[in-house]
Amino acid sequence: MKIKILGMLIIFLLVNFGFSGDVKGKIKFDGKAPKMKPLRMDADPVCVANSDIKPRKEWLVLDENNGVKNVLVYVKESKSGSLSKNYDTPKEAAVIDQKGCVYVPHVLGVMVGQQLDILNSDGTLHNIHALPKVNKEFNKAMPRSKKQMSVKFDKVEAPFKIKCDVHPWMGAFLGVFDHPYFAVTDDSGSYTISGLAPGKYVLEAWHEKLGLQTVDLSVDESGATQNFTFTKPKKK
Amino acid sequence: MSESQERHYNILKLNRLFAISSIIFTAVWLLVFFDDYKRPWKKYQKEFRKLEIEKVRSDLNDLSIQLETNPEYNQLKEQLLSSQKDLEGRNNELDDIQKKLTILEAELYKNNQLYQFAKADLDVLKYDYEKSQIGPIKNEDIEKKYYSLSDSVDKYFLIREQSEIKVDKANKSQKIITEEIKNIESSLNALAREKNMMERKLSKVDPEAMTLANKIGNIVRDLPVLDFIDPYYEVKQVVVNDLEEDLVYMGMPKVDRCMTCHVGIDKKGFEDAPQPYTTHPKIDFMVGPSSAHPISEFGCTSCHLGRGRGTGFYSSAHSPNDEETAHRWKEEYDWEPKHYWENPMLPTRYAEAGCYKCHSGNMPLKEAETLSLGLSVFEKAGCYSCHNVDRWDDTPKTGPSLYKLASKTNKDWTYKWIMEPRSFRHNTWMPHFFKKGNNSSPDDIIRTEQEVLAMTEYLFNKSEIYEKNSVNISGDYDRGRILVNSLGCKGCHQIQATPDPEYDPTIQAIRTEQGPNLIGLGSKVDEDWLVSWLKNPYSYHEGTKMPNLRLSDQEAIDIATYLLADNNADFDKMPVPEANENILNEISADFLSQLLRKSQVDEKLSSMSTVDKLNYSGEKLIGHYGCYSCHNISGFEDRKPIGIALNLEGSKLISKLDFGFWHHEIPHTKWDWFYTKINKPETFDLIPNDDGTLSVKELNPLDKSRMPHYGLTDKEINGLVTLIMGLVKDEIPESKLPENSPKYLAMTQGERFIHTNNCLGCHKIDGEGGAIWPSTASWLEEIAGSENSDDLSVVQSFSPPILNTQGRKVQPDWLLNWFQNISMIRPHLQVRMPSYDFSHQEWNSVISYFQSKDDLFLKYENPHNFTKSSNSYKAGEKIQEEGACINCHFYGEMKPRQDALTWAPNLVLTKERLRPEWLIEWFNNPQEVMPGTKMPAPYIPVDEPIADVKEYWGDEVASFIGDTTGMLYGLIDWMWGLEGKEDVSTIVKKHLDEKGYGFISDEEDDEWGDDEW
Repeated sequence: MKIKILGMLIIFLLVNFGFSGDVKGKIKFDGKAPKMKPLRMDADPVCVANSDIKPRKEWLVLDENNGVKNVLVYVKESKSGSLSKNYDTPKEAAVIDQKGCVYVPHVLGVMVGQQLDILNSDGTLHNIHALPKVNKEFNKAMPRSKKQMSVKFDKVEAPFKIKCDVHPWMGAFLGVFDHPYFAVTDDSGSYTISGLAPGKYVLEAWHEKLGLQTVDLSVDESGATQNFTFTKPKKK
Repeated sequence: MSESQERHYNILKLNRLFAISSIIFTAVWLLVFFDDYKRPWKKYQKEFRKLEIEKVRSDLNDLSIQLETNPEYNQLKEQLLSSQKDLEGRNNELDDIQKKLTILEAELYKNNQLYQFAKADLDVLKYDYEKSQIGPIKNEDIEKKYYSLSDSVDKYFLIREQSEIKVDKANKSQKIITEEIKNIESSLNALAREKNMMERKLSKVDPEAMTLANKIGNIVRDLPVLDFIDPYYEVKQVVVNDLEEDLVYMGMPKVDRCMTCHVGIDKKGFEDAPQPYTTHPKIDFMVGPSSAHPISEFGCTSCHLGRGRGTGFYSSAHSPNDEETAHRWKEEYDWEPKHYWENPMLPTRYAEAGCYKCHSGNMPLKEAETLSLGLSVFEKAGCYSCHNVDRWDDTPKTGPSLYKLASKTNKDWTYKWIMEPRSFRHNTWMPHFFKKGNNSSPDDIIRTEQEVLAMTEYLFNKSEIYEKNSVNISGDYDRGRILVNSLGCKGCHQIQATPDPEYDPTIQAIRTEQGPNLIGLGSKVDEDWLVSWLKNPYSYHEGTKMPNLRLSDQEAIDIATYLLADNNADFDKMPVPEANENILNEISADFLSQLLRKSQVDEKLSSMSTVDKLNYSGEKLIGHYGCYSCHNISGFEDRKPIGIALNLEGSKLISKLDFGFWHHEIPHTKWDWFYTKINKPETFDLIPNDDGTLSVKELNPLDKSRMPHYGLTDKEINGLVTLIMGLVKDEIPESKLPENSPKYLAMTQGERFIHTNNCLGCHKIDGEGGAIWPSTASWLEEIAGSENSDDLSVVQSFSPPILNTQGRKVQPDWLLNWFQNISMIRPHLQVRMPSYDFSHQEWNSVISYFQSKDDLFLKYENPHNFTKSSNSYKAGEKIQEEGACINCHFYGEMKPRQDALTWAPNLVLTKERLRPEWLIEWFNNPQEVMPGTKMPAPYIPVDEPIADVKEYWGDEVASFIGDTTGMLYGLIDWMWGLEGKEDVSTIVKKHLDEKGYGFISDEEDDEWGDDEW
């Protein structure tokens, strides 16, 4: 019995650390980039004063090569059963800051039970209003003296909006996962998901405006590469 | 060989005959036994037993795995093991103790004896001694002897005591060793309790888990003949003593044996098992032992009908839900309808009919969606106007008043409308009386045209004057459109030009049909009438459900301009016939001949002009068709309804329903008859021919079925049939009815008021209602882009408020006053709470509904006291300042710092409007009270280090450290001290006119949606 368990443990470790590669890719936008006007923050003078650079809207952030920032890429499910049921909750907290009256980062993922630290680097009142459908909704005021608050989410949920009712332009999106295989694209639209065991998966890429794309992905020992191309969504 | 006896029969033959017949008799006897033994339900119970064993096994397995992976359990198990090992190791010790204990106990016995004997001797001596004390001469010898014996008794007492101590000690050391094991065992048992229970359960049902004796018992108990003692497979039944089965001349207690086959009905865990083993789909609400309707108290057939005593498929009077099922049942169970059982089981689609007999006061009925829809449709379609049902006694007429019709529209429109309402408004609730299957022949049409002309003439002839206001300003179409979309009109009205192919009738959908679909008004109504009506509907019709929206002249004309721009060209083109003297004579004669002789009729007719005839027959026809049942019409004030009363319709004998020529086409059930009658009321005037065509019975025009055609969907008709099947004469004992508490009465009365007046068309209460939300979203999309209209929390904030916890929330006297003098509360809202002319009593029923719902009853409350010099007030002031309430809330005249988009109520109103207890609840967690609200929970530094609080927040706040309620009461004190202007509506209007809401829209700014893109 013990030997069996030990054997399984070894196999498990090998599968998880021995042969796992990175899933990488780039998200591109196919089409003409929209012209964006600067963000108006006149409502709160503190916001204007706090933004060292000219703030811009974040509903579509592209680099010069049309790489899309802020796309949440994640493993939706495993088709070969190689996704375990129990991953340790990360000890380190995820962080979202309210800085210059925008959320930094704009899109993020956390794991179920992982602590999310909400910072208020602005010397003004924010309220953080999370609008999940599965998890519990909350809306907490953070006066200028309150620099940090922490929350946890206890259920898996597709990306939902977090907003500030005081500053209507402020919005962020958060996804909650029961595994660590998710990533948000960087400035160039690239992402890396590490540690995924070889197997067949369903991978999704979600963007707040451009929508959702789903692909079947097979990962071998050396990992995999999966790019996505988004186009302008059809007007409803 | 002796001479054979003279007999008339042959012994040998007779013996053979006897032998054969006894064999036959035995065989028959066995067959009888066997037949009696082999009951159809047994196979279901056997099958279910298998399922149950399987389930218990798998549950047990799950539990075992769960236990095995439970670290606490494993740890305890290990502890037990080691303790047991320890115990084994200490067995010698225990043996020694035991041996010692035996010796000690013997010693104790001996010492005790010695003590007892000595004491007895002493008692004897005591008498001698006391006697010697009395006499003149003292016997010193006795005295000495007495004292020495007394000493030895004391000595033996001590010896015995010591022995006792030794025995106790030995006992204790033995106990210590065994106690530990006992403790571990009991905590193990506590953890494994569920598992043990499951094991016990399994040992009862699963032969494999039984002891040998039980295994044998298990076989023997169900053997033929022996199975009368305590069989496993048996007829199971529930006897409900206070519910009676009406068996013609006598009542018998209800006995339901359904669970004999539906074995899993009250057991959770068989939700996906096949029939008849399935768990009841609403086990927590029905059937379950802790539900509101436990099976032991209500049985099954009290709701579902059918023959409860039946233990076979046919004998229990099952009813199939559809033809396919009927077909399958015939094949599988040899099923056929049980003709001589008056109340066969309700098919599942009508199962909710059973709810109505006890819950006739509610609206809607929770968990009874079909029945609630039926109630809603019954009320909306005005069925109660023609067919009396007690529940709707004194309910106002469902159609608009026609007293002042001439001021509103014209004769041509009215003619066409009566003739064919749905050609003007595709989803109107006004039914079709004409162009139905029984009055559509060319001759019929010629006659009905004149009938409608006559009714129109009468209505206009009797129409009273209405003083219309004319407004001499011009309206703006776009402004009107935005007003209609934003003021709240669409909580009750739709503007939907063509039928929605995906229309799904639900209570929520019917909410937006409270008033008419506002299409084609340009073809219908007079402009001045519309403006006057919009400005004050009650001036046109006192009893209208349309409230007063306090529109300005400009607003009213803008809305009228928008609504009147829509014409229905096809409808306008429909021809209106001329009066036809001959036909009018015919119609008038039909009515006159009911009173007069033929010669008198002719005489009378010759004395009447065409207009007279129109008016005469119009009046008679309005009476004949029952138009007055739904509309106020002059001259018909005291008329009784034309339809039959439906109060006991569900209990009607099926033999009283006339299937006409349709015995083969329509299944012979009450519900199929009702369905047909509602779906196509003229059916029973028709004859189905063999070739599939229909012919019409020979009937006088006045004898034809008058019931009109409502164009209802299948779902709506099923709702109505469910309701009608629920209108039964059963007498329900008090014990089975919902408790008649003041709370219940207030709740039901309030719910019905709220339903009838469509409060939930705009408001949401506990997640129900809010039919206006999609309209708010489309308005938002227009003014702020899809970025905002897609955001449900924005839609919510611009929709009428959610009324959760309303009873706990507001001060009742403020609410009553506000209902009667509506004023602005939420400054950012465009949607307007209308002014209703309800009486004090009616408003009070609403308030008492809210209060009862929150378990709070109208009572006098002490006003909240505070002083501005208190720490509490000062702390509140600081919390308010740090929390920046002013960002969104008005402080009297002081405008919020932010754009109007996030504005919230004027805090000066709070002290008169809200209850402090509720405010505490609200501040603690606004999202709990009103999911989705933009109000954040105010931040209070209740658990921060006191030094920090002193530094940032000041001493007053710091004095409440650790006291959440104290800090929040500070905020309340501060609010109660806030003075200023209450009515900020002019400030709001000015701001919105100048600056708008300040929405941020991606679409506008960023050219999203531009074609280049």
